[in-house]
Amino acid sequence: MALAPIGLQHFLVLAAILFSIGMYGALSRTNAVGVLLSIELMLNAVNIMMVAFACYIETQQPLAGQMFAIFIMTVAAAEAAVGLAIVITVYRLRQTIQVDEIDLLKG
Amino acid sequence: MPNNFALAWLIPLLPFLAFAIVGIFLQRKHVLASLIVIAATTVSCGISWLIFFQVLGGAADAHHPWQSAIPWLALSTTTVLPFGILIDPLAAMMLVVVTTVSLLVQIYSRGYLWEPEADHGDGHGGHDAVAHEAAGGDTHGTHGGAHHAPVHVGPPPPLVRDPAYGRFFAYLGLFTAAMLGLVLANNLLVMYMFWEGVGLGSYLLIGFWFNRIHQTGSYIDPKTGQERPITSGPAEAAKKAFVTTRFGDFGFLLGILWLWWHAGTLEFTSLTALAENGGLTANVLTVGCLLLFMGAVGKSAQFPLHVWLPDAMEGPTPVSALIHAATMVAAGVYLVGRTFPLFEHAPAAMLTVAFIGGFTAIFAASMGLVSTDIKRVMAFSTVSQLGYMMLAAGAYAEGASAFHLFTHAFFKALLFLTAGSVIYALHRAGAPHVGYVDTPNGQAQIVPAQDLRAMGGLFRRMPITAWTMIIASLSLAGIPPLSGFWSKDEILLSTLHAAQQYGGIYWLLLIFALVTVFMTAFYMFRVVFMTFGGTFRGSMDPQYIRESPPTMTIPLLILAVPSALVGLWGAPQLGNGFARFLEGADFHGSEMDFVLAGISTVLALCGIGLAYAMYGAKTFSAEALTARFRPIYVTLFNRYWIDELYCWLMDTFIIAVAFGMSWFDRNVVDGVVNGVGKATTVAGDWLRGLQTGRIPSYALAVAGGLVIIAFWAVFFRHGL
Repeated sequence: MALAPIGLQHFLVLAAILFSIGMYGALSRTNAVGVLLSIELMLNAVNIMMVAFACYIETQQPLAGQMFAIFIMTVAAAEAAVGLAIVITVYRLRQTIQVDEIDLLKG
Repeated sequence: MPNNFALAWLIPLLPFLAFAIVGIFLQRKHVLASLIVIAATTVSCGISWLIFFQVLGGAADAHHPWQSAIPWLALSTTTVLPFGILIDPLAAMMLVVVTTVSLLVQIYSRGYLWEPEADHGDGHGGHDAVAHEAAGGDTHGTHGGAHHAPVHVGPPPPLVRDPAYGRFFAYLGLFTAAMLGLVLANNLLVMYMFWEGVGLGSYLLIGFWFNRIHQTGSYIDPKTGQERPITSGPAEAAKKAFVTTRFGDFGFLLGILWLWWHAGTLEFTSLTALAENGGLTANVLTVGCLLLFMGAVGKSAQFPLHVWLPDAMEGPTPVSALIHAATMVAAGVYLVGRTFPLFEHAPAAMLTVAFIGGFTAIFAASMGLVSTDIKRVMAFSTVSQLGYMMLAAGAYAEGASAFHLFTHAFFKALLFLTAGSVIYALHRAGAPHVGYVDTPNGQAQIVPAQDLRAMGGLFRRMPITAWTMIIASLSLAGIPPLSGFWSKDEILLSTLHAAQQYGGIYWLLLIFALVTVFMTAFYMFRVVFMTFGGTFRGSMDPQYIRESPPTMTIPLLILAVPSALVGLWGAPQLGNGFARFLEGADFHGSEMDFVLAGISTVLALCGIGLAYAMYGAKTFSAEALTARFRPIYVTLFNRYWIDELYCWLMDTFIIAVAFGMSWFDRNVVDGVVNGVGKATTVAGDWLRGLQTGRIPSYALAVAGGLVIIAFWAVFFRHGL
């Protein structure tokens, strides 16, 4: 049985798997740093998808996908910086970074 | 011929201005206040007479009334209700009656409104006597002791002006203005406004001595047969009058809305045209007329809303003469007259008017037979005579109705003023607030200045009052050729014609009317003989009883002239100028039925004769008669227990309904409102469980929602 050549679908499936793993992590981790890591995973899954689309689908703007990926990386870096800063602040205030203990919004 | 009709705007305006000026600035300046109001009324009276003579000269007639209007209420850009005045013979006649009687009553009031100095300032006292022991609240006070009121020795205390003299004249101005506005109104809404205005004036004047509590009537206990005082006061009477007439006015308002809904206009001329050319169906007119008639029943104290008028006698006597005899109570009759073309095209409404009128006439007269209060006899008489007017209107004889209104205004105002003169004289002679008389069933507490049983022998002491009262009584009884004879005869004749034409119930009403003629003559001369005949039966020294001052007797003498003679204007033998004036081109001549006139005169003479036999010559005893017909006497004396019936209805039926309403309000209406609140709380309690405050659970909800939307987008929106 011959394997199919690597194509768009493989990338999309990979992106979906990564995104799902990231989402699972974001939802299930209780450590704020873990949540941030999981979000990075989801963002990178999206990056893979963007680049794959840009590679395989011909459009009027061939570089649009790559551009998006770079934007997302920039935003991700900023988000990680802000997110970690928040985590540190929260730790200073509450001596914990377990997200299930930070429930001030509880109704 | 130039006419001065535009001056008619001033007729209600001047008394109103007088009311405003006196009411705001001059209540304490007693003499000035009374003179300002009298001056304003005099000018109005002069203008009214001017207009009357112009209408008499043919400047306006029933089919071509003079109107003047200004835009008033803009309901939309196209619908503007006017505020207008209308002058036709009926209005001109009423203007003259109202302003003339009002002027004379105001002059009379200048003399009447004085009270014994001893009473001054204690909040009680005054002409319409007081029971100091009275307890407020309960309707039937009880009297236990058998002591006699102390006999006053020496000359009675001098009189001083009533402390609220100025306020009284302000109210009189207000009432006069409202009544004149009512007469002049050219549409139903304006009339309704002034209609409520006279109701207010009546309320304020009945309750003029609002701080007094005293005996206001008597009640025979059917079990023991003892006569007990009813303790209440002017404030209660004023409330009763206002609420009872308001009850009728509710129907009047509905009638106005009904006619507005169906006719789209409220002006009398347009409504008349619509009724005459068939623009309004008979059913619409019947409902509308019956609703309007409700207002008339309340204002004119017709059965079953007559209960307020006898109690309204708590007001000062000039007020009774002006409002509760000559003017305001005639407003109901005037309303029917104004909208008569509508009634004419609604036979069922006409029959109702005739029946209510005829029944009220005999019903009220029967209560007048036994009443012992001089003013109340006249109040019942007024109700009865208003019933006559309604009967005439219901017998398709608006002319007869208006004619009786016209003559009645003079002689009934005169009767009240003479009664006031008697009461005044007894007060001046030092009549105590509480007195006692012996009845076959024990001693009864009375108001000595007003109770016929404590009067007598006043003929020599008060000749002017006595003679004027006799003239007015003869006129009311319908003795030819005095005023009352002509108008009453016309009513009887029109009832006879209606009976011949429509048969049935009109025959019964004719019998009612004839019996009422007898009763009227009897009760009126019972008053005359009990007041002026025999010897004085009161407790004080009769030597101090003197004729009232000229400011009171001159109005009596002036009023005696129209009371006696004004009916000749409507006498068929003299051309029946009144009907000719009122009906204009519709006048087809009038005749006189000498048989009917003879019967009614004989009945009236029998009534007078019986009164003389019982109270003048004492040929047979009134006590024996009342003992023989005890149940009837008790029923009449207790006014058929109508007040008690209403009280009972109030206490059981209305309170029960109110309880039901209250239950509904507390449980259903409040239940819905509270339910909404409670549902919100419960839903909030339930929904707050979703707010865990934990970020992952929110994120899960977002992710889950995203997945669902994605599924929906992929599988359902585009199909599989």
